[in-house]
Amino acid sequence: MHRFIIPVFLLFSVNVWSQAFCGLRDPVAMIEKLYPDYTSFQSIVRTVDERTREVVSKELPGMVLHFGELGRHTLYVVTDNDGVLGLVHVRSEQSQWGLVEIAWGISKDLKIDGFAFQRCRSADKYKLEVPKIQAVFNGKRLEALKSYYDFEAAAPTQTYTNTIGYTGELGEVLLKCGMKTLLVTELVWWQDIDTIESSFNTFEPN
Amino acid sequence: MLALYTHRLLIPVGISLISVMSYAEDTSSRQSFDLSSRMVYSDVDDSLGFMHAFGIDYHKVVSNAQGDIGTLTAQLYVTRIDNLFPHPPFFDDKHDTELVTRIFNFNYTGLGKNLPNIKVGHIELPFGSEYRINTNGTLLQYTHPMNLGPKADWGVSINKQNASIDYEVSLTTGGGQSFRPDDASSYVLTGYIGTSSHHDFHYGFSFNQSKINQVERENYAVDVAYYEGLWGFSAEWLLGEKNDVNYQQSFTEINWRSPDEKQLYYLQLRLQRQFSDWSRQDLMLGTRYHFHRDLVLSAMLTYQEVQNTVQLSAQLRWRF
Repeated sequence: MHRFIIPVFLLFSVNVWSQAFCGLRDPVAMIEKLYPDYTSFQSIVRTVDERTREVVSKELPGMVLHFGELGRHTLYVVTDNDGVLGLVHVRSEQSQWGLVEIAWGISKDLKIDGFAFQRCRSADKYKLEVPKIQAVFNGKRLEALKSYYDFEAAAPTQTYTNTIGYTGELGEVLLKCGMKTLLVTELVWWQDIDTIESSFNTFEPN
Repeated sequence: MLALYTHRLLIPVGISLISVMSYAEDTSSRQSFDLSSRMVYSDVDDSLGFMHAFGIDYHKVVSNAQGDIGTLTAQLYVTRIDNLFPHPPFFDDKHDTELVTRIFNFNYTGLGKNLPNIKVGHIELPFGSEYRINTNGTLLQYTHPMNLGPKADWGVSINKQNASIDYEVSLTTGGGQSFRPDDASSYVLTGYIGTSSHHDFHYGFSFNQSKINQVERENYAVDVAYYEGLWGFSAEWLLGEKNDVNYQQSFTEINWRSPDEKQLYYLQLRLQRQFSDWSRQDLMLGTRYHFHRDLVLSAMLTYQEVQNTVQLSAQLRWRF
């Protein structure tokens, strides 16, 4: 009689989304879209853990990191021959169309430089990925984005929907993803961001 | 003998990898243990077979002062089969234990933005729909083993992904799990070029020419995929030749995911004609459920009309 055995290993647990790493791809197309003049990028992989999730829930009430958002994630430091152009981080947000992955370009002082939909199964992404709406986000810090969201009503403010000229769900997904991205980037990579300037001061052009 | 040599080399490499994992948490790496148990019921002989695998999955980005210059991916598994038939050819019989290399390569990306990357090691062959989708260790499979022989092979490739195009061309030994096949004249040449796979609609072209232990193959394929909301559709059309026998094959899949993507359901249809007869009319119906962040339960029913067989598979996988 054969047995179906699942041994229990009392080993440390590293939070990972149950998917093999051979499927990981750098968001090269998104980096090219956000920083067209880039020449290179450097990955910094850090762990987004339960503690991060707790802080996100506290700072952004009603918003939780879903289980695919925990684990090891990458911040890309994008450079050209003169130094650092910006940072790129991809975060996903749940929606009625499944997970929406948005790549965010972020300046070293944690302002939005731009965004691009990496994976989105809604055609409305073409309505949002336009210069007019990019301009609404560009240059904004977390506090400015938070002012577009009514946390008690768990919905974007009318100011936000009027400003972007779109009332569909994807606009809310975009705003929530932007807020979570800025907060998570600050919480998880703050030490790296602090040292980026000094480490790339010694940057030698190709 | 070569397989044994391969395994003797890989065991210390695997142990070395595990030993550096404890230091790797703060560097640009990811690592996970991967444990799975699979049960396969076949109505041919009313038998139940099992496959258990335990291994490490390691991924590290290597950088220098100018930026990232490459990625190391290593997936080494101790795999045990019991009463499993048919089984992958690198198992000696239906009760066997092998050290299996799924993926083990270094992809050098340091040639810059416009020049290709160079990958060396055990490479997943770039061909058809399967090239776009991660099927390593999952019940969900596409057409690699049937079309190409090995799913992954030892060799080199050039590859690149940019805003509009993905491509990869590989030249490998044909040994599959072994560095070298039994017949030293074996080789596998495979290539893929297609539009970027992050688009809702993408397509690609593939070719494959190989000689593995006196079996000669030549395949040309076109694949497309389209996603709308929670639905996905993919198709692959192939013209092939195996030892001078021509065949045509189509492979289609329709799938649905739940909004949180914890559940996946799929239906696949594979049709193959040799001469003017159907040589395959296979229907696969499957599901995958992430019932915990690290635990995945999968099940699949395979019905082969021409062979008149039914196979039922189930798998529990834990990555930690």
